[in-house]
Amino acid sequence: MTATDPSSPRTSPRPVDGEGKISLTLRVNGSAERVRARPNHTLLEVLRNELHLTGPREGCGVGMCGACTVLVDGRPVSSCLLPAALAEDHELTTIEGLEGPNGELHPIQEAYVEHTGFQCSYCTPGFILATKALLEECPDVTRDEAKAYLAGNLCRCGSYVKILDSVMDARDRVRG
Amino acid sequence: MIAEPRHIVPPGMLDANLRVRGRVPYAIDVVLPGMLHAKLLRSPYAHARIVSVDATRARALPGVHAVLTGPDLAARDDIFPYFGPIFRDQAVLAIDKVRFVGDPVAAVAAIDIDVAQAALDLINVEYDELPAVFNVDEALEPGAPIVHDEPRRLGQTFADIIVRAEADTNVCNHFKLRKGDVERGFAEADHVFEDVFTSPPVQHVPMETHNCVATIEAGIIRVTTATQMPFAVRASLAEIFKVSQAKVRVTTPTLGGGYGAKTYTKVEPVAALLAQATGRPVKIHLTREEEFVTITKHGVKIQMKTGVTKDGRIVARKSTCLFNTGAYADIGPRLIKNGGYATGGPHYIPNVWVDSYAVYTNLPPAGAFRGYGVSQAAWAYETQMDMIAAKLGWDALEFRMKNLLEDGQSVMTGEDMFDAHFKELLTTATARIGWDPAEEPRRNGSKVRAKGFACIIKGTVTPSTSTAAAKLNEDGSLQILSSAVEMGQGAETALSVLAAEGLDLELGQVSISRPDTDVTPYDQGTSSSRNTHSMGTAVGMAVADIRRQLLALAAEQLEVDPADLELVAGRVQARGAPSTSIAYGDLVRASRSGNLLANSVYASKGGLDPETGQGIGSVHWHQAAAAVEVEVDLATGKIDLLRYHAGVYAGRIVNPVQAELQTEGNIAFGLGQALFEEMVFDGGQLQNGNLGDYMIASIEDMPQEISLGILEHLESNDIHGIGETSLPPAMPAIGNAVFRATGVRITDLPITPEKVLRGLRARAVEESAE
Amino acid sequence: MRGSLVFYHPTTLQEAIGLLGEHGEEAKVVAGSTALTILMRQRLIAPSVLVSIGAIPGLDGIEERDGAIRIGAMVRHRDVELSELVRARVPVLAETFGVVANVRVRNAATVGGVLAESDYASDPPAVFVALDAEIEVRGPGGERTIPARDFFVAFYETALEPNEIVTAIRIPIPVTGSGTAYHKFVSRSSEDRPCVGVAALVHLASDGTCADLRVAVGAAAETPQRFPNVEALAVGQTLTPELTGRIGDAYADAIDTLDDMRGSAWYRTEMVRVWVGRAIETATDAAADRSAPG
Ligand SMILES: Cc1cc2nc3c(=O)[nH]c(=O)nc-3n(C[C@H](O)[C@H](O)[C@H](O)COP(=O)(O)OP(=O)(O)OC[C@H]3O[C@@H](n4cnc5c(N)ncnc54)[C@H](O)[C@@H]3O)c2cc1C
Repeated sequence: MTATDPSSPRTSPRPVDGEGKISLTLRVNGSAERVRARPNHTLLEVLRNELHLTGPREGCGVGMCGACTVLVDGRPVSSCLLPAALAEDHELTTIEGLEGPNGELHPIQEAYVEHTGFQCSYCTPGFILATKALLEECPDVTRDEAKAYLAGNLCRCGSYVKILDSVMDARDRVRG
Repeated sequence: MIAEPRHIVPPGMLDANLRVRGRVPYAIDVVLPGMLHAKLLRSPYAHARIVSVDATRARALPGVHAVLTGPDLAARDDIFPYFGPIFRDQAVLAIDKVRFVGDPVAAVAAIDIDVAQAALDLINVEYDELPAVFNVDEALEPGAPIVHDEPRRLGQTFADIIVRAEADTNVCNHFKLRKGDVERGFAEADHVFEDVFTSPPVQHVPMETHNCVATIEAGIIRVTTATQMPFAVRASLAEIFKVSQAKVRVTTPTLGGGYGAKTYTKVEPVAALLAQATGRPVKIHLTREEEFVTITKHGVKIQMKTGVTKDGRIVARKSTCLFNTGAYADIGPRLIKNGGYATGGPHYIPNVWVDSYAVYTNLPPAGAFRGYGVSQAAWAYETQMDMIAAKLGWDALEFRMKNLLEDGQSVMTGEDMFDAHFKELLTTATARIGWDPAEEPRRNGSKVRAKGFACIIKGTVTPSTSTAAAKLNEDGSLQILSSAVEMGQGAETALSVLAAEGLDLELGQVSISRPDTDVTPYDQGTSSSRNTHSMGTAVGMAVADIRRQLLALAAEQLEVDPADLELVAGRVQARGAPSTSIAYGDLVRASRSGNLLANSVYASKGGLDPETGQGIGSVHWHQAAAAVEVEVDLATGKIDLLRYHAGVYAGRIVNPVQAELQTEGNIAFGLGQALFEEMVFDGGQLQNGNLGDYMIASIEDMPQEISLGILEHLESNDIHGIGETSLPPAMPAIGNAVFRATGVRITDLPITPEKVLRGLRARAVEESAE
Repeated sequence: MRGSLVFYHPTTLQEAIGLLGEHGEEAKVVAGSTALTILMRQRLIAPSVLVSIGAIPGLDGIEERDGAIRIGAMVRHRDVELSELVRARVPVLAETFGVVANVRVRNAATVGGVLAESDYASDPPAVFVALDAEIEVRGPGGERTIPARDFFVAFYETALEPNEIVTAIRIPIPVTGSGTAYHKFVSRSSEDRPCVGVAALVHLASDGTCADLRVAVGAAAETPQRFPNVEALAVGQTLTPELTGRIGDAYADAIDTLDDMRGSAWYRTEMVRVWVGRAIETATDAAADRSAPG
C-alpha cells in the first residue's frame, strides 16, 4: 500500500502547509479525490472528516472490531490503522461505493435487509464489505467458512445469527 | 378499548435500506459550521486532592479556543457544575478531588482533535495523592478513605427511590427488603446454605462511544447527543446552566448501541460549557479507551443464605449485596434496589431479607447495564439453587419446579404473581437440549460434555411515565410524536405497528418522530426493557383518542350511530355497509382543524415501602430461562458452547424478527460475561481498557446451535419487555453446565479456563486424599 | 503535536537506510502500520519521521530458492496464508499466518513487521524459530543473516542494529518425511492473541522412530522458547504418549512463563505442558501421513 507515482519525491518529504498538512490523492469509490491531511492521519479520519463518508466508523481504533472496514484493492482492511499516506494509488471502496447511482441496493445489501442482519447497524457497513470480499474470494462459501472469515467483525448487539443468514443468502444472490 | 384484531407483522426494521447503505445518521456524523473539537485531560490518580491546575500554556496554543478546568467552574456562580441522576456528586470537571483514574480534570476546545490533544499536554495539574479504596470490603472498613467527604447533594428525588446514605462512610445507598420472618424461616428449614458469589465490573462496549455536539444560540442550549434519555439530559443541563428546561433543546438520532451505557448525563455538560465559552459548536467524541472509564456494570459481591425443607421447599433467604458503584453514584442508588430484590428470584419464598448497598470506591462509576443488577443476582441464586440440589442429591430441575412462582403466590416484593410462565419456559428450555437428570457427563478423550440451565425473574422500572402525541393529517397519514430512542432494538418499527393497528392503517402511512425535547413529549427514557410496553401503551392511548375523534366526526358526517361504525383501511365505515364510508382525510378536512390531535400519558403505579421493600415492585414480571450444553477440555479448562436454548416470555410479540434479535443478542452478551468479560484493575488503573485487551464475543464464540423460545400468550393482552430478560440466565446456566461436566463449581465470574483448571486440580488433590 | 510528523517513501533500500541514519531515534520504518498506528495512538511512541518501505522494489516476493522458501519483508500475512507455494512446501507457515488476528489485519500486516515488532504474543515467531528460519537484514554496514532463534531478544526487542531493515526471511523446506504443526491456544474470545502457541516439527525415520524433533513455544515468555537438549530426548525414540508427555513436562519446567490477562504464569506453564504434547502429536500424525506409501 504505497504511492508509486514516480513524479513525487521519495527521499524528500511531501511539502507541508501551514497547518502541517500534506495533500494526497485518494481513489475512493471510483473517483479521484484530492484531500489535505496530516501525514499521520489515518484513512478513516480522512474518509470521514475530509470526504464526509460516514459509512466507515471508528469502533475501537485498534483494528479489532471492523466498524471502519474499507476495501483496499478489494481486500478488507481496518482504515483506523492505515495511514492515509499509505492509501494512495489503491482502489478504495467504502460502503457508499456499493449502492447504485440512485441508491439501489447491492444484492449483498438486499440480503442483509431481508434477514435484518443488524440491530444498531453501526457495524453493518463493515460486515457488508467483508461479505463482499469473502464472496469474491470464495463464491461457494459454507456457513462455517463464513463464520471464520467474519469472526474479526464484532457486533456488540450480537446479531450474529441473522448476519450469517444474510451472508448465506447473499452468496446465493451473488452467484445467481 | 384499543386492541384491534388485526396484527401487523412488520419487516425487521423500517429504515433497513438506509442502514445497509451506511447512511443512517448517528450523532457522530453531525458536522456544523465552525465546529470545534473537545478533548478531556484525565486524572492519572485514583484518589487525589487537586492542588492546582495551570492551563496558561494550553490557552496560548494557536488553534485553542477555550480551556476549562474544575477550579474555573467552581468559581462561577452562574452555573451549578455538578450532575448525577440521584446525587449531584459528579463535577463536570473535577473540583477539589479526583476520584478515579480517568476522572476528567480539564477540557479543551480547539480547531481539531490534534490541536486539542496537544493542548492537553500543556496543562499542568498538581495533585496530592490520597489513599484509595477499590473493593467493597475495603471501602466498608472503619477508617477507610472516604470517597465523598462532602455533604451529599441530593437532586429532585425519583418516585421509586429511597435514599439511605450514611454520612462519613462509603455507603452511597442502602435498600432493605423484609418479607415474612426470615429467622423463623431458617428455623423451619432442614438445611441452610450460605455462599458468596461475585461478578466483576464489565463494560457495555457500545460500538458508538459517547458523543455529542453542543451549541448555544440566542440563549438556547442545543445538544445533539447519543443518549437513551434525552429528557434526563435536558433537566441536567437546565440545572447546570441555571436556566429553565425550555431553554435547553436535546435531540437524539439513532444510537450505535446503548445497553444502559447511554442512560443519564455523561458528556453533554462539558460540551455545552465549552460551546458557551467559545461561542461555537463543540463536538466531543470519546475514544474507546475513554468509554471504558465512563460507565461500567457494577461489580458485586453477594452473600446468600438459603434455607430449604427436606421436601425441597425454599423457606427463607437472606442476601447481603455489595454493589461497587465506583467513584460517582450515577443510578447506582436505584439499581441496588432492583438488583437487591431480584435476589429473591423467581421462586416462592415466604421469608426474604435483603440488605443491598451501593458502595463508593475509587473505580470508574458504575451504572445501568443491560440486566440492571438482575444478572448479578441471578448468577448468585441460580448457581446456589444448583449447588443445593447437588449437595442434597436432588434433581436440579425438579427442585426448581417445586419452587417456581405460580399465579397468586407472592413475589419477593409482596405482590401476587400473575401471568406466570416460569415453569413453561424452563420445561421447554430443558426439553430442547434433551435434559435428563440421569444422564452422566459424556467423555470423549480429554473433552467432556454436560448440560445446565437457569430461570430468572426481572422487574421493570415502576412507577414510570411515558407520554406520546398523535397527529392525523389531512391526507389520512398519522404522525406519532414520541421520545423513544432508536438504538437498534426497532423502537420505531414496533411503535409504528402499534399505531398502524390502532387506526387500521398501513405501516407506510405512519411516521414516528425522533426525540427532540422541543417537539416530542416527555419520556422517562429508553431503558429497562420498557419501551414497547410503556411507550407502546402511551402511543396506543393517543391513537385510541384519535379513533374516538374519527368515530365522532364520522357519526356526524355519515349520520350513523358511532357504535355502528368501524375503522377499515383508512376509512370509517358503517358496520355491514361498506358503501357508507368516509376516508380519514375527509374527516380531518371536515373538522376544519387542520389535523386531529391527541395526547396521552401512561404512568404505571407502584412503589415499595422504605422499611420493608414490600409493595408493587414491577407492573408485571419479565421471565426467562436458558439451557445449555457445554464441552469442557479437561486438560485446559476451555469451554465450548454446543447448544443453547433461550426462552423468554413476551406476552405479545410485536415484531418477531426484533424479538429474535434481542434474544440472540442476549446470548452473545451473556456468553461473553460468562466466559471472559472482566475489567481488570491494578491500583485503580484499568489494565484492559481497549478492545485488543478486553474481549467481546465474536461470531465464532457463539454456541454452535441456538434455539429460541419466545413465548407468546395473546390472551394476557400485555406486552412484556424482552430487551434484557434473556440475558441473566446465561451466566448461571453455563456455570451449572460446567459444574456438571467437571465437578468444578465457579462462584466468581467469569468462568475462565484457568479457574476451571485450578478447580480440577483441587478436586484431584481432594480425591487422592480420600 | 501529531501533525509534526514527516512521511518518506524511499524507492531504494539505500535511501531508506540513509533516512534512518539521518533521523536516528526520531525515525521509524513503517510497513503495514498495524502495530505502529496503535503505538502512536496510545502515545507509547511519537516518531517524527516515518520511512515507508512499501515503494522499494524487491521486498514483496515469495519464492523457492536453494531448498528454502524466501519471503520478502513487505509480503502481507494474508499472502503467506494464501500462497500456493507456501501451502505446498511449508503448509504450517500458511496455517500459522492464517490464524493471526483477523483478515483485515492480515491484509495489511507484513512479515517484516511481525519480525521487527517482536511482540511476545504473536504467532509466527514460534514457527520461524522451530523451522530454523533465517532473517535477512540490510543496514549501513551491508547485509547479514540472523538465525530466527537469535533474532528475538526480549520484549519488543530484536537483534536488529540501529538503522537495519529486515528484507526477507528464509524458511528451510522441511525434509520429506517430516510433519509440522502449530497450535494457537486462546483462553478468551476466538479473536484473542495466543495464550500460548506451540510449533513443532517431527521427522520420522523409515522405521517410525523420531529422527528430528523441534519444538518452539510462543507467547509464554518474552521470546519464543526452544530447548535442543529436550528435543534431543526424542531422537532415535518412538514418540509414545509417555515420551511426548515427558517432553511437555520438560518444556513446562524450563520456561519461565509470564503473567498477563490471558493467563497467569502457573496457567501458562500448564498450557505449555499440554500444547507441547498436542503439537508433537499433530506433527507426528502429519509426518506419518506424509511418509505413508502412496
Ligand atoms: C487487532 C490486531 C490483532 C492482532 N492479533 C495478532 C495475533 O493473533 N497473532 C499475531 O501474531 N499477531 C497479531 N497482531 C499483530 C500483528 O500481526 C502485527 O501488528 C503485525 O505483524 C505488524 O506488522 P506491520 O507490517 O503492520 O508492522 P508495522 O506496524 O508497520 O511495524 C511494526 C514495527 O516493526 C518495524 N518494522 C516494520 N517492518 C520492518 C522492516 N522490514 N525492517 C525493520 N523494521 C520494521 C516498525 O518500525 C515498527 O516498529 C494483531 C494486530 C492487531 C492490530
